[in-house]
Amino acid sequence: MGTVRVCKGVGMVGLFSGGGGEGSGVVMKIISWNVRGLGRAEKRKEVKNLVGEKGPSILCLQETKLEVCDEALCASLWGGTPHFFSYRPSVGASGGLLILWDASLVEVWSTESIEHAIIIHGQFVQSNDEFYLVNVYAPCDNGAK
Amino acid sequence: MILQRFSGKNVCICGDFNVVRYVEERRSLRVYSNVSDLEPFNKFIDENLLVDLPLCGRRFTWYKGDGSSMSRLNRFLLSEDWSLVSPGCTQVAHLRGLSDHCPLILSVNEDDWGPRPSRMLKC
Repeated sequence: MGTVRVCKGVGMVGLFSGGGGEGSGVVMKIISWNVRGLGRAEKRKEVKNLVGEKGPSILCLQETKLEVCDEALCASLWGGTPHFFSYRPSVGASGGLLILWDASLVEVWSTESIEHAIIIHGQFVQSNDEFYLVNVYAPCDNGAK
Repeated sequence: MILQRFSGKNVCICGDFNVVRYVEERRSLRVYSNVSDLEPFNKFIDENLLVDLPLCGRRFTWYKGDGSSMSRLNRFLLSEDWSLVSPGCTQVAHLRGLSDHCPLILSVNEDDWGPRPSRMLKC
């Protein structure tokens, strides 16, 4: 693995009701999406619609193309329900990773930003299951694509 | 690379790996003469005993804008422990929208699998 450094941004925003969900039997849902940039408002709206429609416990985004992710950005993606986030900055307009999670469903004890990935470590509140989640954006090699 | 620190842990790895596992997972106008570029990824999955779930919903997860190439670059990989603790995981690809990649959703439906063994042990 590459160099290890502590992730920059962790925060919580909003206490409004809302958000979405589906079938009662679903105990956990994780979304992973390479969004190819979050700079445009249309893209952020699309993410928010997906979150509202699917009601994930955790959302992993790749290629944010953002050097900074703040609470306002995360609220524009997640909506008003309580959430936390952790991100790895893009290098210029390249790469960038972001993980958001539902504060009522997921308890995160630590986050770590390493080369090409963010790792979060915690537990699912309902089941008490401890977990590690790794959000990866691997370097692009056109030959392997 | 072996994920020693995660040995025996409940681990989920997701994202854009920018590589496929098999030649069938990509379609392109370009001709590929060998599969050696896929070996490191397969080795990583095999050495770490990761579970590569089948993809529901569509065959590919990335589509080049002009339609000349498509691949399954995105996936969820689960450690053995994760798949034992949460045996009912499914992985579904959804519509791309404005991105050229599809969002993937991993979900566990408890109704399909009945009571969880860990809960029985806690009684």
